[in-house]
Amino acid sequence: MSSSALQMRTAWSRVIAWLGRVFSDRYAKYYMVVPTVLYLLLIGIFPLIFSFGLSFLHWDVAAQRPLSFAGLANYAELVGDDRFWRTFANTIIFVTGAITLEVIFGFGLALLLNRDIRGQGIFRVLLMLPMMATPVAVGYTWRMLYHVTNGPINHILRALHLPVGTWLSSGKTSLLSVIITDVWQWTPFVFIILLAGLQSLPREPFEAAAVDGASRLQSFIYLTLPMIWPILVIVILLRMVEAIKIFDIIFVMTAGGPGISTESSTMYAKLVSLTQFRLGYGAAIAYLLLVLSAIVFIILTRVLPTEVGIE
Amino acid sequence: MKGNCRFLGLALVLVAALLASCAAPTPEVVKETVVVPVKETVVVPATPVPEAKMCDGVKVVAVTQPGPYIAGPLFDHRDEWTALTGGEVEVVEVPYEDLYEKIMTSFATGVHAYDIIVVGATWLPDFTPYLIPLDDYIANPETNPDWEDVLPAFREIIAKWEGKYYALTLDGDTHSLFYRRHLFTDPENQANFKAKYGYDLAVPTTMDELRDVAEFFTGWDWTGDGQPDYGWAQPMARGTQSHWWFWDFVAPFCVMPPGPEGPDRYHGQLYFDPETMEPLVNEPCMLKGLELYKEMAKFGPPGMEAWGVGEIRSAFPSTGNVAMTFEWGGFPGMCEDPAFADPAAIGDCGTAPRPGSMELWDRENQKWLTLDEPNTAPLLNFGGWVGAVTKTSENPDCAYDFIKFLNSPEISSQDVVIGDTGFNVYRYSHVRDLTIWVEAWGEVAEQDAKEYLDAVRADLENPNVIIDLRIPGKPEYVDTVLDLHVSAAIVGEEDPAKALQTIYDEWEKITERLGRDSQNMFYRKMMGMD
Repeated sequence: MSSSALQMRTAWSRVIAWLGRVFSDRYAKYYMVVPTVLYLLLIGIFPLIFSFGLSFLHWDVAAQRPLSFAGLANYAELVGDDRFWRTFANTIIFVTGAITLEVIFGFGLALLLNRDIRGQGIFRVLLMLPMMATPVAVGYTWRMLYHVTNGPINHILRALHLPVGTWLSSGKTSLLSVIITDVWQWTPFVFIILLAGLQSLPREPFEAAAVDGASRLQSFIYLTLPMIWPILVIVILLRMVEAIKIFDIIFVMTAGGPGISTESSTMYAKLVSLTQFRLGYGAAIAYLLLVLSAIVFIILTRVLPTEVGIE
Repeated sequence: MKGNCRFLGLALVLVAALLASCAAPTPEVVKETVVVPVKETVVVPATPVPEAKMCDGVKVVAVTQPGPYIAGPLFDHRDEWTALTGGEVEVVEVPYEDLYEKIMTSFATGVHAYDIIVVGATWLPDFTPYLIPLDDYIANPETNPDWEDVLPAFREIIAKWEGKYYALTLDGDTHSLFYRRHLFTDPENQANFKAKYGYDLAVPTTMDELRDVAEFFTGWDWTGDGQPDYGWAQPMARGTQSHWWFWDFVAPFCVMPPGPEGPDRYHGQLYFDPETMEPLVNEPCMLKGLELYKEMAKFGPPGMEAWGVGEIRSAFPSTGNVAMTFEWGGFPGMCEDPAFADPAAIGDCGTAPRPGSMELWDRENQKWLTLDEPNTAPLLNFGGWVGAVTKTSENPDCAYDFIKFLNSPEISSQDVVIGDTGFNVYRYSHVRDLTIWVEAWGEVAEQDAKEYLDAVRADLENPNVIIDLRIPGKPEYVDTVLDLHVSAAIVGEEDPAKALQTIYDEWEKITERLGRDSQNMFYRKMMGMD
């Protein structure tokens, strides 16, 4: 064999040895996560950084103006933007109202079905159906239900000789109507998680309490509630993250009206970004909303203890 | 080794032979001439080759709002166009609320998404940087779309921007007053109305009469179905195009007719002062119109605060329990459609120009004028839908040809007589020829058709006709500011005067941000003042 062929063979064996070291068990785990990291960077982190940068720019597409640096001007404008704060107040009312009702009804249903009753499977499937419907379909369905003259809700109220509601037609009732719709759709989510939590609780403490003569209410207050509490907190936080982004149901049902009574902050951000095409200001709204949501989230995690001791 | 030498020798011999054959070609020796008898030629019939068409193998993508309105005719006629040209049309449907932003996003990001956009003429100024001018096509006799047959308002205003044609008109939009004719001819109604209001019941020609007639037909059963009926219907919800009804109510109080030389600072103006670009929306005439718009809500069915245009179409022709409304020209077509309309409404849908006002605000002298004749100021609400070709289209000739096909007198005449195409009259041939309407709607609707065409023609020939706002940022001025506060005022969420002042303040901010001088320049061009 010639010396050059020998050198080539040696070089190849070095490369193979190097590859062997590189792809050894020690490093392989890092390579396995590379695609995920790249995906996250591209899909998650890049838009986040890009939109953050955008919030410091003037980018007014409709005005056909070139991009220019805005500094903190977008944020300064936002602080004085009355419409943004009104939409933020709507969002907070919506989130608080919807989640409170969803937890009450979801927990109640979970307690009701956490026992051996006939047709339990059918009940569970039926209760989960609203959660599976698309928000747009839910929005249109409830819009028809709320129709003042032809809607079945007012027909039933009339038949019962009760006063009919103005529902989506009045600023006084429109946000409540949207909250009811959201409660209808998302109570099943709370129900299914809490039911799973209830069924995973150990039986022994309850049996011991029963032997000691504890009533059902006492068992609920001193055993069920403390033990289910961590799951309840997680459910509340998950729903809060989703509810604060509310857009689709409101868009279909009221388009934010009457007036501004149901306009959420995300709707306003969309309006600024994709109707007015003020992309810099829209990004600033989105970021301020993110910061405010994060603050609310942190406060909630502090206020709601994740553990409640069993006395 | 021995075998190798033998193989090498054989190869050398072959190569030598090859070289020799190339170097010394054998000369051809002709010994005698042979005459071959020519046989009779047999003509085999060739397989017919289809004639090449101008758009063979071409596919154009058109975007517009979902059918049946507007997208419907594109679907209906694309196969006919394919048969003529060989081209293929893909129609992309985007909800009206998202249409502007989808198209603008594709333009702003430089992504080629569409060859044709079929959009509201009111958005054209924002889109023109991304569209090709159509002047050369229109000037060329071979590609001229019978352009002179298009009514001037829909040819020279809505299809044009900064002196160039950027679109072909597919729809001419203006509101009219629609009413149930039999209510006005009923002797009992006439007597009762006169007893209550002191003058004869007639189709309203003033806003005051409109209010009275709407009130008169509200709250009692004039259909005989045992339920109370209503005098009026109007959309009031946000995001449902209700702002055009606002302009209908305010324009007759605000717009002073221009002289022969056209609009000036105080005449023919509805939106801005053309000298200063100051909004006119907080003038007293606007408040008067807005308060009337709000008051008219009392004469409609309950829950009208959440109504959009769809609910009006359901109430007036379908349910048939509403006496009057303002609507676009597709409305009478729906009224005559047995599949859609209440049988009692067919042949009973009268049309008239929108009422005027006996009071007119003189902005120059800041005082109200009392008139002898009603001042009318018909707005071309929305202006109409137009078709345009994008700059990124790789096949602009075919894209233009499809729009031209839709715009042609033959095809457009089929569309404008059908209510749910969303396309209304825009050609002389549409308004002159009553026969196409009677053929489509039947003999029973001849009177309806005649009144409709007369009303449209009267509006278009009115020297005080107003065009829809068409300046950059229009969606922001109207869709996000005016629509919100007008809606809030008419449903009682905001005080009307405060709502108008808020609109004024917001419009000023938008104008400042977009540049007062450039906005003023665009506004003056829109008004034909420069």
